[in-house]
Amino acid sequence: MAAELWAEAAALQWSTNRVVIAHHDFVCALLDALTKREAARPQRAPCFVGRWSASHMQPHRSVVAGEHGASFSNWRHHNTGITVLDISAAGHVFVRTVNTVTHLAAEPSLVSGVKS
Amino acid sequence: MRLSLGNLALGAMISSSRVCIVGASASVAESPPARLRLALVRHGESLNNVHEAVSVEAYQTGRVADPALSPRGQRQAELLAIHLGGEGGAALNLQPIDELWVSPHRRTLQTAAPLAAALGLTPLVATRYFESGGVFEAKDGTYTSYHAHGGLTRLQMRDEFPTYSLPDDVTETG
Repeated sequence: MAAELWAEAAALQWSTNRVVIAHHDFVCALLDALTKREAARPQRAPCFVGRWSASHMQPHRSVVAGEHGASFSNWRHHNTGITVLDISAAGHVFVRTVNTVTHLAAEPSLVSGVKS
Repeated sequence: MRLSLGNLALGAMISSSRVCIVGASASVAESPPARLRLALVRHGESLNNVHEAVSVEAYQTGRVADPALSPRGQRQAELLAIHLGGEGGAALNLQPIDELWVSPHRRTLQTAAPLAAALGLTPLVATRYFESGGVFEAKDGTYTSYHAHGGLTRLQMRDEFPTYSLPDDVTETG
């Protein structure tokens, strides 16, 4: 899956915003696969340059550290939690936000799916 | 991003926020590099999630292979749609949302429905966005061994989600 996404990103002629409704383990495994290669690069910092970098949020700390192996336990996702990441044409992965549930903030009883 | 009318006449095609230059003489100022932005969203709470939150025993007793959303999961999906279709989507720099992909499980298909309606998008069902282990049942309810379950058949999916685009590998056997 990660390889397919990298190939898609490399072939893009223009930027695309895609929402994927999937599953906890799928999202965790995909994040592992995407960030593992990014962490293995000689330069671990995201490669976005110029003025666009200023508009990006700081990545999740564990993504930059990149010391983890493939495991579902590296990530947590609430039900309808949103994780946003960019894949550049060069294959760099930049995680913009992880498991945000601000849409549930007004009704905290709706937050579910992660054991404390 | 700046384009003059003269450049447009030379072949710059504009579609919403996208700019694709087809004429060599067209100029675009400071165009950001193309990138694929993914918003990975976990489905709303399923009935299996409800059992799971109660106890292992409740989960093993009540679990079904392809559960529907719980009432709370439905509400989560509705709020997700409002959020991504409005200010939340803008705050996440996701607008316009160009594509909506969804795994072929009932809980993800149901989660996508309000968002698809809010965005006016056709959900694209993809079997590659699959749950770990797939759709499965515990043999004899013992949870010591499992067998694959076909999930929704093509006919069932068409019936329950008529506006969704189905790939060829969603078949009559699920």
